[in-house]
Amino acid sequence: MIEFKNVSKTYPNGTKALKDVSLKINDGDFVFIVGSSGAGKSTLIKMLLREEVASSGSVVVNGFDLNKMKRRRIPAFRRSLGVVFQDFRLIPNMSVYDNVAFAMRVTNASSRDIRKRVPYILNLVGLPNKAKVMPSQLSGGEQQRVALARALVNNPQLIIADEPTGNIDPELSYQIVDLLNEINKCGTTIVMVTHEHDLVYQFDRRVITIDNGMVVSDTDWEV
Amino acid sequence: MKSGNFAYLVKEGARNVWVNRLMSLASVGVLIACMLLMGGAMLISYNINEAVGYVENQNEVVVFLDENLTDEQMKSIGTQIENKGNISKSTFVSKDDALYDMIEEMGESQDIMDGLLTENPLLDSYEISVSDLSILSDTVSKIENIDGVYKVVSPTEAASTLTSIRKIVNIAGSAIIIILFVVSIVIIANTIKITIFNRRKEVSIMKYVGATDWFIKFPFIIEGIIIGLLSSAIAYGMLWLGYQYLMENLLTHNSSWLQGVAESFVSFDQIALSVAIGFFGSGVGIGAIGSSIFVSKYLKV
Repeated sequence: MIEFKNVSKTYPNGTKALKDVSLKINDGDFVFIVGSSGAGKSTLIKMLLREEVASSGSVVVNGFDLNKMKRRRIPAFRRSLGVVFQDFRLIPNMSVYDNVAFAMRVTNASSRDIRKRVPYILNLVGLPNKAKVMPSQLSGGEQQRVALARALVNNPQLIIADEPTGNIDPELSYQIVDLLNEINKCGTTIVMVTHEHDLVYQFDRRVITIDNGMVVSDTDWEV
Repeated sequence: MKSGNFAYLVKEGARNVWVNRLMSLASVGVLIACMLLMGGAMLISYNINEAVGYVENQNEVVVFLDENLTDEQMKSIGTQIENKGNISKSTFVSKDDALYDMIEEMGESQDIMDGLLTENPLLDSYEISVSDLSILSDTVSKIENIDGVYKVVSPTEAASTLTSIRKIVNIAGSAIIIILFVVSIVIIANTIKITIFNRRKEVSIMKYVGATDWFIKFPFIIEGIIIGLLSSAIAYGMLWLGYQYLMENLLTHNSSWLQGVAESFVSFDQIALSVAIGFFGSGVGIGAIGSSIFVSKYLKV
């Protein structure tokens, strides 16, 4: 569960990125967050990942109170969620297999579990034969699916996708969102930031619109 | 940390040396260059010091005694000289011994002495060496004041030259070594910084996936240690071979002066252990500490 209560964020240079934002995303939801660039989407994501801390208000994600959390608890918190970025962020000198396995290794998973789980997940995202390939040899869509596999491998309660289709062909974009949709059906909460309205229309889901640091519409209210 | 993880992290460190082999090569090269410079400078200044010390110990002061002294008087002068301090060695040479030595030294032409001498024209003397050459003239004037001392012959000028050479060698040597040390640290720090800067994205990705600082740092430290070990082993080998080669060439050189100088050099065996400890210690230490410090910079995501 994600809960923002009266969250404001002002950067040291004076930019007010978020102004008194309150929102609640329940377990099992699938939420699109839309808004033009500079609206505050990135800041929102950074706060969800505990890269930035709110200037005021409270942010609770997966039961972790991010404002009060100690720095050394951050790794444990981040393991409770999966992240997918626009630029994939795969480790370039590790194979597809090792990239996905890395997310398990940081959790102290046994190598037996890793050997069982990683091929299963790669199969799930449709890349069963790419385990030994390096990320640079894959297409954008394939790289994003590896990133998705990495986000999924620890079976997190929540997946945050920051413009996951931004660098991918439109047809493949649909596939990625569809994959997220399928994952959501198994009970995982999905928060996806995007500015591709076509995609949002194709999947009839809750849409939160942010503009100028404020939530200007939330389809949840209108229901 | 679980043992399986430990093995994985060590393996990761070793793998990264190879995966980033170009940067590894650059780091190894820089480390070797710095170690050779430092090691070379230390060896040179150590040897010059040793050589000057050797020449210093060759100093000889001859104290001639008045004629017609009794044995007791001569003995008492001997004790008086030793009581002046700064004397490392003192031997009594009777005038008969002195004459005998002189004739010996003449070799084949000693016959000419037979006709010339009816009596021994030499004086009884003490041959002494001082321990601290820099206060030689002071010691000499003290001895000159002893009753029954006829004359003191001493290498005062050579002594002051040697003393000042040693001072210059010490100061210049230390200054060069300190400068090289600072330069080395700056170059090495920069090399490590660049290596890790190239991989800052990798570090931040690991943080996003939920890796602890330690989990990210550890392979970097292993990598630093491997590069440090590799560099110090190569630098040690090069210094050893280079020194051996130089010594061999000097010892068999045509110039007897160079041969003499080389003989006063310390052999590599004598310093092998301290060079090894210095190289391996600094290599591993710099590798591990440097990596650890600079990775930490990119861990604050």
